[in-house]
Amino acid sequence: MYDKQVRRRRLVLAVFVVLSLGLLTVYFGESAGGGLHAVQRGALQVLGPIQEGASRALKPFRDLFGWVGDTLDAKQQRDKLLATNEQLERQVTDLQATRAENEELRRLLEINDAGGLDAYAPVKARVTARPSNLFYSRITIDKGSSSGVEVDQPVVNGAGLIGRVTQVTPGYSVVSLITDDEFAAAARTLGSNQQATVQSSINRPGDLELELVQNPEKVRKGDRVITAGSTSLRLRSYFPQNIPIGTVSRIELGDGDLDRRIHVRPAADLGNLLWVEVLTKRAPAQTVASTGTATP
Amino acid sequence: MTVTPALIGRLAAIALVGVVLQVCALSQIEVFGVPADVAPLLVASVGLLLGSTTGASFGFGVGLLVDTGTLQTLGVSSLLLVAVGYGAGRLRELRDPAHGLTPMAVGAVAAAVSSIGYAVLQFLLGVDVPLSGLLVRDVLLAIVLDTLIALPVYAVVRRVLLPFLPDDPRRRRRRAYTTGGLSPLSRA
Repeated sequence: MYDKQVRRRRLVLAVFVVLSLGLLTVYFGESAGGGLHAVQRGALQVLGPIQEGASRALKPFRDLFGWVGDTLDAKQQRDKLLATNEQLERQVTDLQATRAENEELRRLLEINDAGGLDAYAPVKARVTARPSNLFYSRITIDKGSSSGVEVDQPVVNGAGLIGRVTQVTPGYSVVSLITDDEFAAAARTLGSNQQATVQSSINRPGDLELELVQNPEKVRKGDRVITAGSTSLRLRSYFPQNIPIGTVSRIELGDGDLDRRIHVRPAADLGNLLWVEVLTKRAPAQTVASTGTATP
Repeated sequence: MTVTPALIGRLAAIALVGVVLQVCALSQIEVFGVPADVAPLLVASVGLLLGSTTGASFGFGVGLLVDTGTLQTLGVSSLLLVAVGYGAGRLRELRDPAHGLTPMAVGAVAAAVSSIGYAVLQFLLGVDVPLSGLLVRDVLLAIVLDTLIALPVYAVVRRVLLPFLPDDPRRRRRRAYTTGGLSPLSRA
């Protein structure tokens, strides 16, 4: 009895395996128009309507699962896109910063070439700290005495004069900007060609004024102001000549013709400094004007 | 076990409904990025419940339906599902596992045999099978998914076939206590 069961079981298995292999072989070997293909297509004709009806009936379930899946996918996509967006924003910020640095360095090169500042052994420095308000006109740069920087050396950027080194450590230096209340420099106006002294404007942070102008009535709004490269009787100039300082922005008239307050807007954007140059070499003797005592 | 026309009818209904459900709905619902495949689970469940001969026959039928419904090469699914049904049936006949999670384990093996066997057969038949890490991952995920749904599928199949199942010891004991039969404790 048991042997009969075993034989029957094995026979059934063998029959189905052989049938499957036979079907497989014949189906695989025949052309698309063969008998088994035709049977399959015929069966599909019968099953087709059932499948179609079932497909319609089950559509809400598919949609429900699809909605859940789509929602999960959308959440994943949203997270990925947010991460990508953050990354791109960082890249844009980096690129903008790099572009601004490039622009500033390019201007520095231009002023070196055009203004002949290469003769003053310029040392490029990055601004590492800056004042958080307009009333404190000093910045810190990442070059110090180890790079040849000394106190009183002029500092410029691509736009013009920035200030003067006032403190030096081996690795860092403090630069007093031209808007600092201790700043003063011999200057010259272009156009009207007037000798003067430029210094910070009292009670007007970020503004400069022309003082000791020979003929103030000749100065016009829009005149450019550059360093004179000279020393007055009272003030010693640390700055080479022909470095842009700013532009006459406003002239306030007083009681008399000579009573004028001439305001100068700095050429450099002092609130947005990234790179500057320290001119580590003294101005040659021929650049010193002859209006006063020559710089030693 | 006697195979009656009623049992054949129910098996046919299970096969037809299962395959139509598979082709029309389940194949289009992806979980973990892969669709579930209930065909090997149905065959494994029938094999576990009714034995190797019925399991192999059912597997052959379901395989034919799957291949016909999806216009695949006839005989591929049949061959694999015959093996699945026969194997599950033999496990029942030899071991008679009573653990509640047996259908899960059997479902996992059935899904693995079906997925991997299908890939191997396609490869042997010369069909270009993209052998890649992605395929392996998908096969593994499909096995995991089928393992997770094996228990409910088994429960449904068992429910449908309940009147035709041979009495299992647990059911017999339960009926004896609740219908006034003698409890083993009352013999003394």
